[in-house]
Order: sequence, then C-alpha cells, then structure tokens
Amino acid sequence: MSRILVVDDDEAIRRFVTVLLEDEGHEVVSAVHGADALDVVAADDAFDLIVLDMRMPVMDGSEFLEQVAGRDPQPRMLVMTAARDLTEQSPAVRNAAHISKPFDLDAFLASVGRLLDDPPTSPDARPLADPRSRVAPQSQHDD
Amino acid sequence: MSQRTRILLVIALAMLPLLAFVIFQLWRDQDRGIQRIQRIQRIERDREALARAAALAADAFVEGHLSTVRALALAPVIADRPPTADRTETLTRLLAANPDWQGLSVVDADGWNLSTGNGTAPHTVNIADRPYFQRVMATGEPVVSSAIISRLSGLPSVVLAAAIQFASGERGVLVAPLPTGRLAESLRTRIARADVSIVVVDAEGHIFVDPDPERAIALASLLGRPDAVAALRGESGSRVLRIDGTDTLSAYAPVPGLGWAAILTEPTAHAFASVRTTLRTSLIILALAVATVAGAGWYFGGRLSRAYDAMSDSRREANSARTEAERQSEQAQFLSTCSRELAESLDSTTTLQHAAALCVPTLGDWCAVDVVQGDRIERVAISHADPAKAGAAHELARRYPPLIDAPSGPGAAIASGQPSLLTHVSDAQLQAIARDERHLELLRSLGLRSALAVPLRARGRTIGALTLVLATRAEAYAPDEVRLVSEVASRAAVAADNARLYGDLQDALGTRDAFLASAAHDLRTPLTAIKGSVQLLQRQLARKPDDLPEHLADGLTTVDTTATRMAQMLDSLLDLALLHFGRALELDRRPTDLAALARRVAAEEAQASALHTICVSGDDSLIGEWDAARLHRVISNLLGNATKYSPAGGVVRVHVSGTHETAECPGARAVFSITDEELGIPRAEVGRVFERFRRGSNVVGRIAGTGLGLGGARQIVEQHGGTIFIDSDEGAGTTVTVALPLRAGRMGADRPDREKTEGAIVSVASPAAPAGGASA
Repeated sequence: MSRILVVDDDEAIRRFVTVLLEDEGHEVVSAVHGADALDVVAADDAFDLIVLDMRMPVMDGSEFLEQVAGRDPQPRMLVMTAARDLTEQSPAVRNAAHISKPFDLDAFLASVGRLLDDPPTSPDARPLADPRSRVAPQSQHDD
Repeated sequence: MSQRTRILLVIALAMLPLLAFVIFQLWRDQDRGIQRIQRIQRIERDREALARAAALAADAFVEGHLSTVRALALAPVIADRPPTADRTETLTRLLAANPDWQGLSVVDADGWNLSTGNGTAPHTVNIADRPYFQRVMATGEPVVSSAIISRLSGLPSVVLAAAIQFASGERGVLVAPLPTGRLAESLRTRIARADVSIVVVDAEGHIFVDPDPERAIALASLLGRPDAVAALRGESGSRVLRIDGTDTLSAYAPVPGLGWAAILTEPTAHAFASVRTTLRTSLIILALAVATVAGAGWYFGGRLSRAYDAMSDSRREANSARTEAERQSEQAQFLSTCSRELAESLDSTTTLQHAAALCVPTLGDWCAVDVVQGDRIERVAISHADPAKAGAAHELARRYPPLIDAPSGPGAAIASGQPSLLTHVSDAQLQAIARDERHLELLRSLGLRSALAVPLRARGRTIGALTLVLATRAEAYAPDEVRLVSEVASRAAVAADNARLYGDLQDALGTRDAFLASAAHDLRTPLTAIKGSVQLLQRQLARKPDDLPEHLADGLTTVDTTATRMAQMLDSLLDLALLHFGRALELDRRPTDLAALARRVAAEEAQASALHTICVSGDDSLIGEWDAARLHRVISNLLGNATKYSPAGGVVRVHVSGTHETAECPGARAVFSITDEELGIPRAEVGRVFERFRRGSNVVGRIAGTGLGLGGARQIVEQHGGTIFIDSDEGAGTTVTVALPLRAGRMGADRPDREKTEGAIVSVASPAAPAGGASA
C-alpha cells in the first residue's frame, strides 16, 4: 500500500482517480490546487506518489513542481495534462512522467504501478521514471 | 557666356581679317601716297618738260622767222638805196614765199615805210613810235616785238624787225609782222595733247597765244599769276593753281631768247587722272573687300552663331538630360536600397532606426525619427553622421523631446501632414526655439543650419515624422530633395506600418493559438472525467458480474467509446485548424507497429458497425517511426469512411505491407490500403475530396458527414512524408492507398514542398528528446 496525493481542480476527476486508487488499495489524499497541495505536503510529506494536474487555479502544476523540486526525498510525480504541446513547459514538467487526458484507467494504473516500483530519488538525480514510459492510451497501453 | 556675348565675339572674330586688311591697307596707303606723290611729281615734271619743249619750239619758230628776216635785211635787193621797183616786187615775192608773215616792209630811219610786200603805198605808215623800231635803230640787232594786235588783220602778232644798212649808208629796218596764230598752231601740233592748253605770254605778260582766241586778241595780261610771273623770271616748273574755278596743273618755262613764257595748263582732273583712277580703284577694292569681309563675317558669324547655339543647346540639353538621368538613377537606386533595407526588419522601431541610418549622410548630417504615442511624440531613432555629436543628439532627444504643438519641426509636420522646412536657421532663431540654456547649448553644438521634417504617413494616418538636419551645408533643402525625403519617409512609414501590422498579426496568431489550445484543454477535462468515471463504473461492476445487466454494460461501453471518439475528433479538429493556419503539426514520432495499429482500429470500427466485416491482411508486424495517435486517426477516418459510404454493409479490406530498402530502391516504406465495394466517388470528383468541406456529390444529403476528415488524413500523411491516393468510381467502390516512409525524411527527400514538414519532423524525431509530443 502506498500513500498517494491527487491534485486536480476538477472534482469529478479527483473523485474517480481517488476511488480507483483506493480500490487498488492505496491511501489517497486529494488537493484542489497547487497551493493546497503544498500545504498538504508541508504537513505530511510521506507520499509515495503525487498525481498532479497541470492547469489549476491559485497555483498550477508547473509552479507546484518548482516548489517541491528541492525536497528530499524527491516525491515521485505523475503529471496528468490535457495539453498536447509540452515544449513550452518548464524542464521540471517536461522531465516528469506524463499521462495525457483523457486516458484509459488501465493505462493510468500501469503508469502508477511502474512509478511505485521505482525507488525514490534524490533531488540531484534525474527522475527515474523514463519520460518515454508515459502512456499513449489509444496506441500503446498494454492491452 | 551669354548669347549676345557669343554673337559679338563671332562678329569680332569675323572682323579680325577685315581689321588686318584695313591695317594692311593703311600701311600700304602710306606707301601708295608716296607712290602717288611720285607719280604726281612725274606728271608735273612731264608737263614741265612739255612746257620747256613748247618754249623751245616757240623760240625756234620765232628765231627761224627772225633769222630769215635778218638774212633778208642783209640782202642787196633790200638794202638798195634808193628803193627800186624791183624791191617791192622782191618783197611781194618773199611775202608769198613766207605765208606766215602778214607783211614785209622796208622802213627808213624815220619810221616811214619805203617798200611793202603787200601793196601798201610807201610813206603811208610810220612806225617810229614803235618800241621794237626804236630798239632796232638803237642796237642794230634784230628784235622781236612784244605782242601786238596787228592793225592790218586785228590778230595778235609779233613783229620781226632787223636793221638794214642801205647801200647809201642810211639805215633802215626790215619789218615782218608775224601773226601768232601760226605759232599757236605749230605748238599745238608739236605738243599734241588735247587737254593741254598752250599759252604763250610776252615779256610783259600779255597772252598772245591761247586756245581761246578772244583772250589772245585781248592781249590779256597774266602778270598776276604766279606761274606766269615765275616763268617770266626765267624759272621753269609746275604748280597747281585754281584757274577759273578749276584746279589746274600749270607747267611753265621761259622762252629763252625772247623773254617770253610758255605756260601749259591742264585741269588736274585730267592731268592726274591716272593717279586718281588708281586711288579710286584702291578705294573700290578696299570697299569691296570690307563689304565682302563684313558680309561673309555677318553671314558666317550668323551661321556659326546659330550652329554654336544649336550645338551648345543640344549639348546643354544632353548634359542636363544626362545629369537629370544620373540624379534620377541615383535617387532610384537610393530608394531601392531604402525599400530593400526597410523591408529587412519586421519590427516597427527597428525599421524606423534603419530609415534614420539610411538618410545619413546622404540626405542630411543627422536624422531623427519620431512617432506619435497618444498625445505626445516619442523619438525612436537618431542617426548622426559625426559619431562625436551623436551623444548631443541623444541628449537633445532625451531631455528636450519634440513637442507636438511646435510651430515647426516634427510636431508641425505631424500636425499638418505636410513637410516642415526650416531654412537658414539663425542663432536668434535657435534662442527662440531653446527651452533653456542647456537646450541652446546642445542646439548650437549640433550646428543646426536648416532642417526638414516630413510626416510619416501610412494608410492615411500620420504615424510620426522623419526629421533631417543640415549642419555643414549652407544651402537649404531644394524642392526635389524635399520630394526625395518625402518618398523615403513614405516608404519608411509603410515599412514600419507593415512591421506593426505583422506584429499585430503575430499577436493575433498567438492569441488564436492560445485560444485553440485552451479550448482543447478545457474540452478534454470533462471528457477525462466522463471516460474515467465510466471506466471506473465498468471496473466496479465487473467485480460483481452477476449484478450487471447486459444493457447497462453495453451502455457504459458506448459512453466510453463515444467519449474516446469525441477526444479524437477534438484532436483532429485542432490539427486541422493548425494545418489550415499554416502551422506544421508537431509529430510525436516513435516506433509504432502499423499492422497492430490497423488491427486495433479495425476492431474498434467493427465494434461500431455490426453490418460490416473488416478483414486485415498483409504483414503481421510493420515497425516504423510514426505519430501513432495521428496515424490511428487516419486509419480510423478511412475505415469510418469505408463503412459509412457502404451503408448496406459488406466487406472492407485492409491490407498492410512493407518494402525494404535496397540499393536499387532506396527508402523503405509501408503501404496500407483500405478497399470498400460500395458507393464510390464520381471519377471527376476524386481529386477534390481532399478539400475541406468537400464531399462526393452522390453522398451529400444521404449520409451524414462534415467533409473534414479526408483533408486532415492527407495532411497527416503528408506531414509524415507520405502519400495518399484514392482510386474510385461511382458504384465501383473505393480504394485508398497510403504510403509512408519508415523513417522521417526518406520518402519525401525528393519532394521540396515537404521541407517544412520534414524540418518539424526531424526536430521531434530524435530519440534523445526527453519531451514527448501529443498523443490522442
């Protein structure tokens, strides 16, 4: 069992992700935007994975990534993004593992499973999650 | 040199030979004068000689007769005393022998005539009172008397008298009157000059030979005339006298033995006729020469002048035309350079800075460009020919920006829309312009002498002004320079305006792209919620399969599939929009199995359409570097069309095969074809179905569709460097064949119109790139 923080401003998404992960046996905490998530992390940083939306009010995912970039150990991140072009995003976002919205739950769970299998990393290290491991749900998910 | 001066010069040149001729003539005239004098002298000497000859002839004539008379006086028959009848007869015979004599008489010592040859009775005539008788009686020498008028004939005569010594010892005188008519005739015969009058005067100056007999008869005296006086003095010579109102050449000589004078007179008109003719001829020649030279000078001067005028006119015209052409060529070249350089930047301010730099130093010593910003003017560009003064120009712009309500300069040009020209700026004017001491100091240091501000106008709007200043040149801007500067300003304004429009357009494009991205993002979020929630429900229900009603499970699947299609359509629409705006897709190339992809899409389509059988044949696996999500869309679209346009159902065949690169056939590629057997497309319309919103005419109104799909499919295929080909005919079914290079850039390498796409592909295709692109 892992502790997972789900950060998304969309309540429906937040809810089904939470239920899905809880069904899989994980302990899930949710936050509605980056600043909220920062508060949660500040109070309790023992999360194995943070599932992070990008576009959110108050503080977006990109800024949250920068805020937590220096933490040790670096929390594992799975970025959910509805944007298609990531070239304009910060390196922290580009280097994180992604899953494009909308996605199939099988693909999502596969990504979560791979990330949780990786050991935690130090801030100096490159994220262990291979960016190429992000899932293209319509084409490359494991059927 | 003015026309008048040139004509005068030409005339003077033409007169030069005339002047030379006149000078030459003057010089020669001096010589000729001498010659003339010499000729006159020669004529005078000639006449004098003639006069001498006449004098000698007269002397000889008289002496001859006198000798005869003397000889007769010695003859015994004459000297017989007393007189005899024989003597009278002898005298008569002698008189007959000497017809010149008017008479011949023997006179006794008392003066009485003793015997007379002409029948006069003796002792009837006494000549004792006659001076010649007395002289003969006194001297015994023969004497020629002074001129007298003969009592017998009334003619002028001289009397020849010779002493007779009679045999008786008495003395007597033989007298023979000689009329001078014979002498005159003799002289005229001898001289034989028609125009020469021969006059002979006796010792008392009385004329007794004269062409005018009246004068001779009158025995007019010539004692008052200098020639006669000189001749009677024994001088010979000639002189010009005025006689009876006529200039007359008089030549005179004394008759030696008789004390007479012979005077030859001739009007000078005759005497010097030859000299005068020569002079006249010279004058005529001179006049003709002068006239000829003057005429020729005038004529050729005129011709030369006209020719010179024409030549200089044409040369001036040619020169001015050439200068004008050169000037225009330079201006055109300058304007062309301006246009080229002004078009280089797409930034408005940079463009105006280019304009300022271009104008210096060609059009002025320094240049400033101001643009209107609301209700004030901002100086955006300064260029100075002298780098040392550029600082002052910048300080001027910073501390004393131009005022929009200034009476002259950029403010005035902007306000009026017309050029504002400041000429010959004086220090007083600078003082008037200056806002304070430092301002004046700056203006003075920049050396403003004249300035020109022209408005920058584009699309009917004044966006600013271009100001040029002359600091070193004294002359102000000429009208054609104002035009040139205005032209430069116009081009700068248009270029700057275009740059601004381009910037606006870029902003608008950015806004549009941002909107598209944002809209897509916003639409994907609810789709994510729908799909996630439905799949969660499916998972939860799947754990209790007994409780799951079949229709509910099917419904959830339909919701999920529909949401997926919506997401695909959203991606498709977004791609199409980007492609329509000329933006290349950022392909997310990664190793993809085309055969597996085709099978999956076929399965999805089969699920959606129960009427159709979809058969996939060909290679089991075909790996290439492609954007899987987009190829998914292409295949899905083509299969969708195939099922959609065969509404009665049937078999749709998908065939996937690959070719391998060989030496002969470079560029390995994948080919897949999708064939249906139904409606097909009218052959004439096959080429047009790729156009957006274009659909086959046989399906419009019968089958739902937007006409967007096939165009998008082709764009994606072509961005991959591939080709798409449709073979169809109405009622004969349709085969769509797609060929794709296995790797980026291979198949399209020989297709230049794909370069943009390839560039985009290559930049994303590197396996090392950590960032991924889009996946649907």
